[in-house]
Amino acid sequence: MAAGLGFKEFTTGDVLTAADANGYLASQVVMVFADSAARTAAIASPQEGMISYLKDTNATQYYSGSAWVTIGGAGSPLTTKGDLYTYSTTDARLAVGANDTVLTADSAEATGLKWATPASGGMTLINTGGTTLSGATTTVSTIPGTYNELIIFIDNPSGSADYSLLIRPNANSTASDYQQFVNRGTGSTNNAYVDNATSGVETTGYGMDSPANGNMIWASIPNYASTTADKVINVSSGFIQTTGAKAVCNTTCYFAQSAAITSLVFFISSGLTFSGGTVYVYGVK
Amino acid sequence: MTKPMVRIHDVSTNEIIDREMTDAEFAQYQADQAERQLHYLSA
Repeated sequence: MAAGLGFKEFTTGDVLTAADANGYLASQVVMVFADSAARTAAIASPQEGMISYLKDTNATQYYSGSAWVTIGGAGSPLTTKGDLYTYSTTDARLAVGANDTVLTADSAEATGLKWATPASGGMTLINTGGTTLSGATTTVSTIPGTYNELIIFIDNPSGSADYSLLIRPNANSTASDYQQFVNRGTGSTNNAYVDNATSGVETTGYGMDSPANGNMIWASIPNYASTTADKVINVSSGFIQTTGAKAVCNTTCYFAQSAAITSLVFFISSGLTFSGGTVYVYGVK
Repeated sequence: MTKPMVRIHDVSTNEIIDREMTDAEFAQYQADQAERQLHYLSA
């Protein structure tokens, strides 16, 4: 096919030759083809500067002298609600993700993008439904090590008589592993003491009244899944004392064990048994 | 002699088992009682 001849302004009486028609007109219009195959069949020798339009891809292309190059990209690849216009080595469609997924950069994807479920955060109840306290001891076992922290909430624990409640991680009964500072108060009285002779984490300091009457114990164990670091356990409690007075207690315990905590044993004092209450163990990301 | 009962909630299976203490658990239980008596005398 003839090369484009540029621009010429014809005047009245001019006679257009075949070369004029080919060089000034046919070679310099936007030629419309069904697809690139039809274009190849029609133009055996494309010339630099030619422009064509392909109906199958809605692409307008110019011939660079060696290849057809898309002008301004092909038509939009978007087809569906929520589609995103992305790029790999060509323009590409990224279909909308599932509900509640988020757009995430990922170099392994062709477009460098994907829809992904966001990393979960917040608290997850590990012992489904909670564990009703029962027997002389109640154990929550096989705690997964997939969280950053454990939060323990003991709701309205009750014993067969007035009692105190302790927590023993991994059933560890070595008293010297529990270095504790207990700060307790009732009425206008407050006192604090250190304790390294109790083989469990103190949660109340005083004895609690039973049956339960709004007793509540809350504890946290950050970094509980570490296999190299000792643990620190913090406990706060509010309860009715055996005398009927309201009491509170805060305990900080250095638990000198580097093993991951995979179980928690809850037990009460002096041969009593639980008669109610529920323990909830949450994992926190 | 009947030993005290214990409850174990295995969170991997969500199975809750109530059973009597084993001999080892019962020994620890008795030790705990003695410890608590001493603790409340001194606290």
